[in-house]
Formats: sequence, structure tokens, C-alpha cells
Amino acid sequence: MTTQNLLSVRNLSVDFPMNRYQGRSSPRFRAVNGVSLDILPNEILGLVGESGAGKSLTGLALMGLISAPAHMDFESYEFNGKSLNRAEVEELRGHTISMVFQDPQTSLNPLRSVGDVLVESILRHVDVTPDQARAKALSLLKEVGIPAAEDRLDNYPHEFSGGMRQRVVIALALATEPQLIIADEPTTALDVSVQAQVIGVLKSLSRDKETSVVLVTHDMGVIAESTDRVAVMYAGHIVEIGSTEDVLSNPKHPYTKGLLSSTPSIERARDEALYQIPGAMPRPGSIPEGCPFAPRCDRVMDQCRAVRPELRSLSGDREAACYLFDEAGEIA
Amino acid sequence: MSLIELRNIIQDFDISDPWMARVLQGKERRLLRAVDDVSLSIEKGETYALVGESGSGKSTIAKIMVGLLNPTAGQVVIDGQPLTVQSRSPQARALRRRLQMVFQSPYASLNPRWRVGSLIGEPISAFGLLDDKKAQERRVHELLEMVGLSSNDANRFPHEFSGGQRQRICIARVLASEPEIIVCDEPTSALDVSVQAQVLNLLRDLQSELDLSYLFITHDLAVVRQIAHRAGVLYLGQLVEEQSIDDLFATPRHPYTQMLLEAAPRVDRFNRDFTTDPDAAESPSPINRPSGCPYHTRCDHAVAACQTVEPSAHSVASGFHRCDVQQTA
Repeated sequence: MTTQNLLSVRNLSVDFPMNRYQGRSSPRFRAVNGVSLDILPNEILGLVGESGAGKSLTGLALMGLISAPAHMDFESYEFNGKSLNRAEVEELRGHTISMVFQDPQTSLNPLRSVGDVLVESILRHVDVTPDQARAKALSLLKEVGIPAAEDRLDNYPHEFSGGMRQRVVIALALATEPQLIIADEPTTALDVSVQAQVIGVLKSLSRDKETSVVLVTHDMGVIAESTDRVAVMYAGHIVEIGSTEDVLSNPKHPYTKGLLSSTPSIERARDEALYQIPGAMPRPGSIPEGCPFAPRCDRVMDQCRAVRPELRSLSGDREAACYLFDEAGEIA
Repeated sequence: MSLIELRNIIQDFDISDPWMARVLQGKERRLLRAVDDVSLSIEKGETYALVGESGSGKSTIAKIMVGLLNPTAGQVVIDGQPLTVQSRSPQARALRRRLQMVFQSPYASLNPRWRVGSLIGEPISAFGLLDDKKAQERRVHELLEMVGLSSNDANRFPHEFSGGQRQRICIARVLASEPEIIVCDEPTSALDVSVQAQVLNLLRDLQSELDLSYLFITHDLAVVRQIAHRAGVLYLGQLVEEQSIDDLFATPRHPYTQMLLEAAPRVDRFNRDFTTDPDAAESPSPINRPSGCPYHTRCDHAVAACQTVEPSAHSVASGFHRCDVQQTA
């Protein structure tokens, strides 16, 4: 099973000191707690959750981009079937795994033309001459759908619109022919019509270039329309994972259900009030002992408060961390 | 008579080069038309949503409505009385009390050094609604409970609250001046979905309780459907379509509205086939507004006339749209 996964991580955790001035003696809180993920070749995996769920940190930790005072840890990390240690994970970053951030404005150096930045990145990671690098930069810009790419190569970031800039950032992420792209809220800053196009670019990449994408977002609509599988995160845990269509049309975990029914829809009439999940996401450092969602759950049981539920397989490739379900389906 | 009306509002911003450059290089003065002849009206107890992408002028209209901006031309009329910004008269002050605004970021709109009680109490004393200190304190507690917080929260500071709770504090502060019209500028776009649901439900409950009118500004069509009675679609400063909510979602008339509805992400549509054609995508800059119909550069139905002729308003059952092609089709 492990050989077919592009990436397979077990028990990934990230923790922070509660008080950074106390140094090592400070109590620490876990922002990502025991996350295990498999990423298949050619797939788009969605990580969805609300602020503080740990989805962005999980994305960063997958490429070892966690630095002091934060600390990351994992039980095992396999890339293409090869087991790696922490230092080797960091080696992957930049060429085998690359990143697309939310804000295309701050991801590009305003003082350098986009061609310049692309060429630099290609020369650093791929063994080519500067002329070849420039030709490659041009073909990358074409690939992400920038019109009149020849003329745009010498433009500066401020001469591009938001959507075009995000395309440039994606081209930059592709410059090193990565096998995995981690995209953290890549469309959140964009208008809907532009958002649809940027997602289109990401989708065609995973299809045509054999690149997997981890798409981190808070937007269920984006998840539905673009991902193959989705992992729902809450308070540092994956609470439910499975194929996107399966999870969204038949959510199992009470949090996934709550999240979906509190999302407004253009199909839904005005008369009904939106469902409200009672309470709020626990603050760092006060995540409850048992199931992190227990205090807000309408179907909470005694064992939920005592012992944290593990992810358990349900039917198909679906897993949920909830005592209400086991392989046979719903228990209670 | 409508409670509030915008009449032929035009807002130009001066984006000329500095004066010296104009003199030395002979450059022309340049104006950006952010709002182009917008008229709309809101009834008592109604929610009117303004939808549009970035740069469409929706926030500018919000500022004009509450009097933070003085429009280049046109009038804001409340109960038949024009509201003018310069006026310091007691009447203008009384009118402005009835018109309040909730902003997008609840982090930036609360003074971090004030306690919640003083934040909410300020409009009460500023407008002289209650003179007695005790009565004012009771009113603050009442307002806190009305928005789903507890009266003990009056002694706390804004940083002790989460984003959703802060937005509730902003709403309580707005309610303190006993307004009739609340302009909400993207009040939930900084919030998580579960918190957004709480704030949207709160706004709806307050509306039915206090018979409030809202101008609700958002880019999210799903939110519009949830909260509004009527909606206007704004494109490059022009109101291209206005209909009641059910009609707008059932039979969108303007191609721009149709495109927005099609592009809006939906949780029940899987593996959508995306176009990646960039030419159709982005709204032109308001600095270089296209001639004729502003949308013709992105429109699938555009004919030659769209490039030159400004479309006129065509009435439909519950509103109007500005598309000459759809009209004849």
C-alpha cells in the first residue's frame, strides 16, 4: 500500500510554547496533533477547517517548514516509498514539494520582473543554461494561461492583476517540476470569477503534469468543486477523511455535518435560518481531554469526554474519528 | 415613500498626477468614476443586498449612504429629507443617528483601549439618548444580551473576544444609537462559516425584532440569498440588475449576474469542469472603463452595438436589468 502513495505521513504533530519568553520550560500546546495522511499520485487533496484548525500548519509541516520556537515531529514520513528523517524532508522543499501562498502580492519580489524570478528559480533547481531557463520560464507562463506570455515575461508584479499574479506564483511553484504542490488558500484573495480560473489551472496541472496538490482552504465550495479527497480538520485533528463527493454529500462526523449545514448556499431559500454550531473553537491550550469537538457536539456521549476517538475506517476509503460510527455504519 | 433613497449618485475620484507634473508635462486631469448614476431605495424592515466584485464601487456606495463621503452628484434622501454631509445642524445630526454602519473587520473597528461597556455606551451619551448613568448602564447590559453576549462582558476589553464576538460588540454599539437603517459592509467575510452563520442569524433576528432596514454589501451570493429581500448587482460602478431575491436567483437577466451565479462555488457540485481561459476572467480597471456596456469585454452574448451604445434599463417583474441583448432575445 505504501508504495503507491506519493507521500505518507504518520502522527505528524506541531507544537508551540505557550509563552515564548520562558524558553524550554514553557508549557507547550499542540496545534497539529497526530495527523496521519496519505497523498496519492495525481490527486488533489483538500484540507478544510476553520481558523485555528491546524490546516495551514499541516501544509507547512508536510514540507518541513516549521521553525523554532515551533517544533514538529512525526512517527514516519515516506515519500515515493522512501522513508525520510526530518532533515531529508527539508531537502524536498523547493524542488520536489513547492508551495503557493494565499497572497500573490507578498509572494513576489516587487523589484524584480517575473521572468527574472522564474529564471532564477529554474537555474537553481534544474541543470540548464540561462537561455534554456528563459525559454522554460516562458513555457511555464503559457502553461498557467497568461495571455501574451512573451511580452509579460519582463513585466513586474504590480503590472499584473490579482488573478494573473496568482498564476505567476503557480508558475513559480512549477518551475522546479515538483511532484507535490501545497497551495494554502490560493484563491481566497480573489473574486469568484477569477477564483474559478485559478482552480481550473490547479486542476489541469494535477491531471496533465502528474503533480499532486494539497489544497488548504476554509471554503467548502472550493473543496467540492476541485478536490478528489478531503480531510476535515478540527482543533489540530483530522476528524473525517474520504472522497470529496462522499464526505460532502453524506457527512458522518457531527462537525462536518455542522460545518456543511452552517454554510449558506445559493440554492437555499431565505426562510430557514442557518444551522449554528453552538460554542466556539477551543482556544489553544484549552483543548479538551477527550474528543476536541465534544463540548459543542449535540450527540456527545460519556466516552467522548473521557477518551479521544481515533480515526476509524467506515465503508470504502472513508474514515471518521467519532464513536458514533464503526465499519458497520452508525452505532447509536 | 421609501425609508431611504439614493438618487442618481455619481462619485468621481481624482486620480490625476500631482499638480507639478501636470504643469510641467502638460498632463490632463484624470477622474475615476467609481459610482455611475446609481439609484436605489430601501423600504422599512427590508434587506437590500449590493453584490459585486472588487472595484465595483459597492463600498463607496456604503460610505456615501452613511455620509462618510460626499457624492460628486446625486442625493441621499431619508424620509423625503436630503441628507447632506456638511450640515452640522441638529436635524442632520438626528438623521445621521438613524443611519449606522457595521464594518468588515471587527478587529479594526473597536478601540482596543476602551472597555466594551464604554464602547457601547458612547453612542448613547453622544446622541443624548439617556442622561442617567444608571439607566445607561442598564441599556448597555440589555444591548449585550440582545446580541448574545452576557452583561458581565461590559467590563472586558475587545482583545478578550473572538472575531465573531467582536462583530457582535460592533452590532451592539450600532444598535445603541437606535438606528433604523444599518449599512453592513461585508460584515461576515472575515469570519469562519460557523461564526458567519451565527452573525447572519443574529442580524435576521434583530431585523424582525426591531424592524430594521439593512443595506448589506457582500461579494458572496450565497450570503445574499440567505439574508436579503432584494438585491442589486454592481459592475464597474453601474447597477446592472436589480430584482427580488427569488427572481434574481431563479431568472437572472444580465449576463454578468448569470456568470456570477455560475462561478459561485457550490458544495453540491463535484468535479466541475473549469475553464482556464483568462480572457473572460477579470473585470477591467475602473480607470479604463469600456465604452458602451461596461460588461461587453467579458460578455458571451455581446453584439457590435454593445461596444458603443450604453444599455438602457429594462423593467422586469420585480426590478430591472441593463442588457439590450437579453431584452431583444
